[in-house]
Amino acid sequence: MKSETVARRKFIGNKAFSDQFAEIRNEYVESYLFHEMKIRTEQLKGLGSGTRSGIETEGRSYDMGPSRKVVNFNIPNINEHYGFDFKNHFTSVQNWHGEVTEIIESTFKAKLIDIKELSHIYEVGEFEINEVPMDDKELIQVGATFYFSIGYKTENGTVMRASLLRFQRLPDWSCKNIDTASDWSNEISNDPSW
Amino acid sequence: MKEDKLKIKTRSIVFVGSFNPTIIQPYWLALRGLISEEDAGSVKIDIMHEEIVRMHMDWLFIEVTKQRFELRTSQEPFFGMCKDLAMGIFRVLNETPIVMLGINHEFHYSYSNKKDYYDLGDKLANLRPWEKHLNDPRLLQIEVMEQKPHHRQYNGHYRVRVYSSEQIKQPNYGVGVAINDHYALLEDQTGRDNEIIEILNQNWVESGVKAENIVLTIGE
Repeated sequence: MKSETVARRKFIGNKAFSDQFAEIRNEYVESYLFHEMKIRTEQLKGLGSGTRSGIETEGRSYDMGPSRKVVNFNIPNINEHYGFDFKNHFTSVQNWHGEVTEIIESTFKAKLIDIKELSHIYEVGEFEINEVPMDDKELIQVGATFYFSIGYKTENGTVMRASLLRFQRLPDWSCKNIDTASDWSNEISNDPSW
Repeated sequence: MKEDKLKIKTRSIVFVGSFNPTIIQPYWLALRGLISEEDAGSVKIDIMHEEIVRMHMDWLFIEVTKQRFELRTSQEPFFGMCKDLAMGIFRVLNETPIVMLGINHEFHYSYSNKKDYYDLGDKLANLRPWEKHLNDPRLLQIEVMEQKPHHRQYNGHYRVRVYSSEQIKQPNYGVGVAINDHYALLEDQTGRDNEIIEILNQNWVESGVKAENIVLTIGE
């Protein structure tokens, strides 16, 4: 700040004061930065580093001078609607809601209701436990419910046939709910307005 | 619209109320058993701030602000899980006041034939009267709505918007259908008694079936 005071006095009354003062101030800042960088580099040499890389990997603290590299964050624009990832999607050909009825060694049997058909008629299917994702295996028990779908999965433009089985994680979804859904679907399928 | 033209289907659930965004964190969801640990590990957090939390994983996108809570998926097998997760969260946070709900359905159709694409617009809105004033008029967007019947236990409306979709890439022509099934509480309800969650539970299947029926028959 002392140099700024000298500069201000020197150019008082001069019309080009502001421009010249700004120029001197920039020189002063550059000189300060150079001086500080030199000190830092010499300190690093003393440590056997010999490069600036030591500074670049240093943690940033708020009291550091202006010579430190500023870290830039990619902050999303929260006012913009999120550009949803449509490159990866799965469109089902058929969706079932299943309920485990029996577990036999490495397989389980289940009652399956076609969600799209809105029918109270159920099918019976048998699944390999290996088809269940690792984290869902602990959920397999008689009465547990799951979603099973077959369809087309698109991943980065590549379309493939796929099936997906995931166990439901809503604690209070039970056979009663399935029966209620089944009753409702039966009722609505008989409604002539559909 | 024909099912073979359907390329993308999404479902989202939007709640309006008073939320604390920073509660919604991947490991909190896993700890409560609402998502698997594997899912929690795959979550990518876009932003976490007291005003907004935005994160996504393979099958789910979540955005929470102090007034709005949205879950969205473009993977049809996970539509049910998306609803289960929404219900699970607010059964745990059961004192959260929620006053509105939107069950949103989005469909994107791909038309390879230019004529079929323009004909659909003509079917949805008769363009003949416009021909007196405009040269070769085209439909860009149309929106139709109904109010929910008064005898139901909630207010709301059902809104269908058909528009030109940018999700379908050239040389094909894209048609998007966005359906907003909106529910609001009655005046004497507070939103603190899980009313909205019950509405979601009771109307989820019906809302999906109605949306499917609309898009199947639209433009026929």
